[in-house]
Amino acid sequence: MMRSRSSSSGGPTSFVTTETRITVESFDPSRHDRSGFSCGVPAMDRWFSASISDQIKRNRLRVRCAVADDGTLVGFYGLAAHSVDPTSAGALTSRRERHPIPAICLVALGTDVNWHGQGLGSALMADTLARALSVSTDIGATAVVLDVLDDAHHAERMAFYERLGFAPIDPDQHPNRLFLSMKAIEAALAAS
Amino acid sequence: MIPGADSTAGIHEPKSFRKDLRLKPSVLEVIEMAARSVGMDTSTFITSVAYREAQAIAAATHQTVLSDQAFDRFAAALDQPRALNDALAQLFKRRSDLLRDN
Repeated sequence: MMRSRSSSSGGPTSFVTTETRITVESFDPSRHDRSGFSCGVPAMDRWFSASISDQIKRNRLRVRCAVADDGTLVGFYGLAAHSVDPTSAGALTSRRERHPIPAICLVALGTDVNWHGQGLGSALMADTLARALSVSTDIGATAVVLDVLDDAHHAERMAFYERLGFAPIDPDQHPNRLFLSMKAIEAALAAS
Repeated sequence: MIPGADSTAGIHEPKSFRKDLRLKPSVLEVIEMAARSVGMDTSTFITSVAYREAQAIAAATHQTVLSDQAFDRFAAALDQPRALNDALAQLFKRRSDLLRDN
């Protein structure tokens, strides 16, 4: 069974199973060995192993890693600042003034194939949303935005996110880009 | 002729790097045909399209551009009071129930 603990102060978060303690902490290339990690999606594995360092150095991305007590990297998620913009940004229309709306993008979330089916993905999802909410209390952000991977498991993934209340940001132009408002996250967290 | 623009034309650097590509013959054929149709050599065409796509991918992580109608729907959805989602609450509750200090 997966057990979890959250830290709202920005420090490590621990998830505890009956056998293993999992700590979620900021990515550190000197400590987090990605060589043995695979989430089962080759494109995401390549992104995680080859792309994140560049983006972190350029302050485009922050990644948190889930690490077992033996030091094995078992999961990760990445967050980035995001903006939802109208085509006519800043234009004063007859009805309303439209300005970009700040959000937080869940760029990717993955768990190692050896940990699939143990609830780690759900636990990391909860940690992601809690962290996004925490960030939004310091720097305004209205929603969490994510893209559902369009592969053989697309329908399954879409159903998972929709159960949590995510909805397409624009069903016509961006059918795989979903959002969940901070208000919804806050309400669910308060009720838990 | 369909006009094509080199998306890297504004970058004033020498082409000092060489990149070998392995392509499927039929894919190369389609690319070369498209490059000819816009009056570009194949190398410039591939670089231009790839660079444009690279910029779009980078931008998509940090920005969603919506039509004004879709934007208004999104903005309105953010302002609506949300009914409590049980599955989401359960996700947090389970996490909270099982909380243990490190």
